[in-house]
Amino acid sequence: MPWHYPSAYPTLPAMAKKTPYLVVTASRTDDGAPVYFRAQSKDWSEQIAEASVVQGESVADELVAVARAQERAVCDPYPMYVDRAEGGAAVPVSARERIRSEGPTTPLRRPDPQS
Amino acid sequence: MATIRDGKIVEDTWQHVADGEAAPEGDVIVTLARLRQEGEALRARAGKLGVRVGSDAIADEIGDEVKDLALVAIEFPKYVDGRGYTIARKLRDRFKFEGELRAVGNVLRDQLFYMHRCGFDAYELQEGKDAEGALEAFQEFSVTYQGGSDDPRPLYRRR
Amino acid sequence: MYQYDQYDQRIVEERSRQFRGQVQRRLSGEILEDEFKPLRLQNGLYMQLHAYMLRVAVPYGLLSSTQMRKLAHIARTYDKGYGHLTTRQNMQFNWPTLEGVANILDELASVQMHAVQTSGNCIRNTTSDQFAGVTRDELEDPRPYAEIIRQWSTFHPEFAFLPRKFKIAVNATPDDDRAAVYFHDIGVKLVENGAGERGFEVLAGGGLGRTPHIGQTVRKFLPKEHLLSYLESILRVYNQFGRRDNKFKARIKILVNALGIEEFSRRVEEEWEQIKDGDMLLPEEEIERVKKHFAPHAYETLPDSDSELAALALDKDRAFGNWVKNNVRPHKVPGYASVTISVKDKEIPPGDLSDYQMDQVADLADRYSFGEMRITHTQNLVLADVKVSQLRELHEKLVAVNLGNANANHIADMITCPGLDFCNLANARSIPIGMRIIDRFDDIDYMNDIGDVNLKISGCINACGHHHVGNIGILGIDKQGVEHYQLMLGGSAGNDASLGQIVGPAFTQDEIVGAVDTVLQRYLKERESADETFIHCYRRVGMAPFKEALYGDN
Repeated sequence: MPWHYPSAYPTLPAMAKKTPYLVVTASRTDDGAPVYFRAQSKDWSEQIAEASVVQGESVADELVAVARAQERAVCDPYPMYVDRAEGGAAVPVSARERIRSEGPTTPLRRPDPQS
Repeated sequence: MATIRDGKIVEDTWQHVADGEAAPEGDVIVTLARLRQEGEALRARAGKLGVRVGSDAIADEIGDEVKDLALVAIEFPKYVDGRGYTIARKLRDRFKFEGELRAVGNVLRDQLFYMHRCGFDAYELQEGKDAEGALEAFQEFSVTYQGGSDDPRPLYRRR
Repeated sequence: MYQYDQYDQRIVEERSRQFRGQVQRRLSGEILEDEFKPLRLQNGLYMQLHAYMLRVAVPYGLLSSTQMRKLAHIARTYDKGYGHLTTRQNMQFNWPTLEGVANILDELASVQMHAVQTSGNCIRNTTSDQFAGVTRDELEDPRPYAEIIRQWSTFHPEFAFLPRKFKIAVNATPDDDRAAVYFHDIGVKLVENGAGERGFEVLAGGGLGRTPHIGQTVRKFLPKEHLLSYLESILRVYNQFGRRDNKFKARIKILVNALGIEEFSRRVEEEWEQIKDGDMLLPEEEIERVKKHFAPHAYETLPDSDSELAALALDKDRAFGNWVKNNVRPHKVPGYASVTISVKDKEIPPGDLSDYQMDQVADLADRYSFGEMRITHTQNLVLADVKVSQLRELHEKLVAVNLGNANANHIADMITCPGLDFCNLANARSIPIGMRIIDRFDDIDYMNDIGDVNLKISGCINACGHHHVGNIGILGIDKQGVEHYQLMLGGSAGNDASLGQIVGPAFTQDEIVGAVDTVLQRYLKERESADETFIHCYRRVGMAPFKEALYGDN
């Protein structure tokens, strides 16, 4: 898929860093992929929208403690602030976490020339 | 906690003695401060005497004080604190320390090979770590490029 | 190039086995991330935003075609079909799995490669001049010394857990420093003393990062046989006295500046006195043994080609002529030239090569350049030994694989760090800014008019994109959650080493590309003649005109 500047160039909007909502995220041990904690099933999803959203830092810290029991499966769990979309699903607020959840904003591999 | 000496898991006869605690019978390891205060009395005891130094010890400053002891234990507060390697090499190479050089603290399998090359011959492996597995660390490399306290010759003198 | 013997080979094989064991212990849960992290870091394995990243060591940037094909194979099989060239002349892969890395190390070992010490607080890949051995302006080939240092530093038992990372560069060109020796923890310069003997000037304490420093001379002249004992002494002083309480103050430059260069040198010399005549003395035979590996290729005897090269630069095929002018430089052997393959193109992140391109370049190296190529610290490739008579067909073939851009040493030929698209530490994206700038200056005549200038972009103050030493530097910052970019002018990494200065308030990502253009337009107005390059003009006129062009009178 060729990359066309500038139309496909995503501009990440300014967003407030602090919200009342948090999720717990980590990197998966097997491949380093960003994953998000689901409190009910005590497991991890690659989709931030499936993460358990909690309110308040102390609740989030408790969730991190639960997630820490899974440090074979994941590396360095941490809480992060999120927004909520309609329906309540988590949406990242920082540029860093948005890029982390959506992938690089740059093209990955140049297609081979047509011969 | 397992003690490894010369590549084997051994029964440890040494006891660490905290400052302010009476030295028990047998072989004891005291702090450098205590050695400085009570050195004479400690040396007069029946058991062997060792000293424990922090990773901030400078070998050139402590070398003469400790070189005749039976044991020097060098503390690794965190294994990423690599000062102990230089302390060990200088005690061995410069001060010709011939007693037991023991790594204590956050001592883990994957540092043992480097420690061995820097002149350590005993290790108090961190609590809860697989000691049998850790012994494999000494066998992981059969070639080294640089000289060390184990063999001062770089590979270019052995090639 | 250096060929492994049984000893070198055994070391990389044993390393591969050891790391596989460490991976297995991590995957089984015997060790957790805290304990695994420093182990993987000693092996060039980072955790980035989306995945692990593996950095493969390419000692002083030199690669054989066999090795390049192996890297292509690794990119295809274990990654997403591409690799990224780094400022330490290495190649890194952005998407391997943990188990995949264990297999990659075996693959690498099969072609005399590894990932040893490409990260972590240890001695990193030793870098050198990308034109080493073929350039006219060097005293002698620095690569044998870089290789000797590589061997000494590999698994050095005393220096695996330094206060911070440690980088060494070696050069041998008195007038034109392409290895940035003034910006390394240790810079080693091959020099001649008054008596005509060869030895080294040893610099220490240079570096970029948050607090950039220009390296200072520890010893003016070191006889060759003492190279390793002297390095060992510097490392020993650093290992004992470097700060460990604050990682931002842990590099050797902080120690050198805290002690002062006199006291630092005194401690080094005192240490060195103790060990200099021991087993570390480098015997002449060892230097000769390593030198043999870098013996000149079997060049044909050809007539002098300087005038032909000059004529080709004016070729009526302007794409070819411009490429010769910008990307081709004279060789010390008549009839040959060294070619910089630009890996800077508006369609791809600077320094990215697809597996297909790697294979193609390997084939071209076999056909035109004795089967060898080099990675430059400016994230390009070099074919160092091409016959002038074959330049035209080489250029055609490079163009066919999108590697024929004629922008070497020009505004589009930038350094960019991976930035916030990949890196855990970044505050802002670098690659998209770089690509936009390449696109903005995608006009060879405009680029040629601007002439020699280098641009360096970092996505945070750790300065992996070397922004402090760019003639034009860009530093990405986070301003209330929004990516912003500071513009710096006047840096240089060469013998005329200087640090860039911030011009004024930061720009948004939509403004920064135009700001670079504004600076260059102003330069075109200010310069005395087309021979006055941007950096020389800047040094003459200072910051004021550029500041005025960017921000107006206030």
